[in-house]
Amino acid sequence: MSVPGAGHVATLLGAWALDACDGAEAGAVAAHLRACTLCADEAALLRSAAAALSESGLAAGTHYPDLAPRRAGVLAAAGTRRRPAPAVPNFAAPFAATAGLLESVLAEVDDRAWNRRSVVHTWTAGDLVAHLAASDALVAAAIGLDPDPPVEPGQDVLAYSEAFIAVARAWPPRRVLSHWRAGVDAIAARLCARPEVAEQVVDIGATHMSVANQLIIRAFETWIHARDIGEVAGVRVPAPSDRHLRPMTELAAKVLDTLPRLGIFSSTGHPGPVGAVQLTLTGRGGGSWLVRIGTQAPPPAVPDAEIVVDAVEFCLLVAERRGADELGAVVTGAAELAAELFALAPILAQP
Amino acid sequence: MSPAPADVDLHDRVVAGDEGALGEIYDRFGSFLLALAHRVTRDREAAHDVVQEVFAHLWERPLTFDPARGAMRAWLATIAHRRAVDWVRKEERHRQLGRENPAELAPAAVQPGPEAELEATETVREVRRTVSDLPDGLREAVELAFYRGLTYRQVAVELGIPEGTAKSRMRSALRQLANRLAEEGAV
Repeated sequence: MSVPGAGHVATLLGAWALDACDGAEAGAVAAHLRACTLCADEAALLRSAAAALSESGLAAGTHYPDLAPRRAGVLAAAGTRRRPAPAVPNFAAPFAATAGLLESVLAEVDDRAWNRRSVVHTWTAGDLVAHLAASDALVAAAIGLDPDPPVEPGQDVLAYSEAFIAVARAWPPRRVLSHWRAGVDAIAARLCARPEVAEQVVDIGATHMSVANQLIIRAFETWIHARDIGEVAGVRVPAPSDRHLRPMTELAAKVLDTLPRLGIFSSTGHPGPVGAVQLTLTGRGGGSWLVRIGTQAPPPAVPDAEIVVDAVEFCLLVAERRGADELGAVVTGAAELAAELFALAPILAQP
Repeated sequence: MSPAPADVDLHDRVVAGDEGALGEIYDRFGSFLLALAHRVTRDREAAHDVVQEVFAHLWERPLTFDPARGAMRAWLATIAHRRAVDWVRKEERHRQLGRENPAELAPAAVQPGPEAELEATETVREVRRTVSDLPDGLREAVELAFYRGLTYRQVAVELGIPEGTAKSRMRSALRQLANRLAEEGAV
């Protein structure tokens, strides 16, 4: 699709790729590229050729100076622009990593994006940050901290979150971010001081599980909402790395397998399919688990069905960011049993 | 083009706020980026400032890099080049071809560490050959722009050609370079 003046911009693409335009022209080209895929494709091609020039311009035998004396200074200067992930004991590594991930996403969120509606309820990107801070506060209270606003015993999780979102809407973004960061730091410090708290079983909302597992759920929620915020800001958010995603998929498989123990025997509340499914997740966060559906009886030697699906896609199903038909899953054996597993998965993400 | 696993892993770690990853990327590419920045700025301190700025940008805004779109090395080089050119433009000194006594980089007291990726060797020979094979007019235009930080207008003055010709030579040169590199599987 051609745009008025597109021909003029196209002639500049070579110069632009070489950084040989002046500031105003470079700005005009960049703006045009956001609207015109034809020029954007050529620009990308020319850019990659220009980047290759950075290799050839260095003559054979160029003296490459030792940079060790400058290393600390460079890293320290970088450190003034953005904080690292907080230090935590190993069991909380996913929580720290997804906090870091959210920090990276927030660097791409300006004030306009902050106030833009996300896919979650009617919440804006800013509301999602407030929601994460509130949800973190519930865990903080469970490990003996004193978050603000205070958490009452037996606190209703939804009410607490909505109350804080309302308060945070009146704050400038900077203050909401500080509050979220302070909450993460307080939890991290507490975990470093008292790592034994990992095995302590705590009740938050309807969940009754170890602090270690509560933090995996925090990590999962932080990642999913970081993704939602990224969508609002127009930036692609990578999934957590395998070592951080694996504890999340592992927990999901284990909880799915034990749903009957929590009184959940089917997705509909009426009697449904019963059996065992071999759930194999591929790619980062991957693994393979035998998941019983609708029963706690010992599983058969051969599973009734097998599902092979990408781990990240499966996580997005749990988070209800994907439908079961969008997963690209390969199902063999009892199809209705596999479908029941997909239908049960989002229950894991309910508060 | 599928992203290099090392790029993806390092990028994931920077995104997750892992300072160690930033240090590793510095160890890999710092020397190369410094040499590139010096090539363009001809000024030792300016070159160090450029490198510092590149790493600060990577750390602060890691999501501006997408490993699926190209190699991290090339992306860092692009940022370094842009900052180096910005410095050159800001310089008040009158530009001459061949600056007098540019401040040289001190030669290495010790060799850069084994993890330093000084040359992307698969690419570098092909690129050098392709650039030297370009018709003189195209090559000169590209070299003046890329390595001296001249705008296309300044290149036009330097080569005594119309501005439109300078622009089209740059575009042609890069297209030829891109095509040749694609043929060699080097891009």
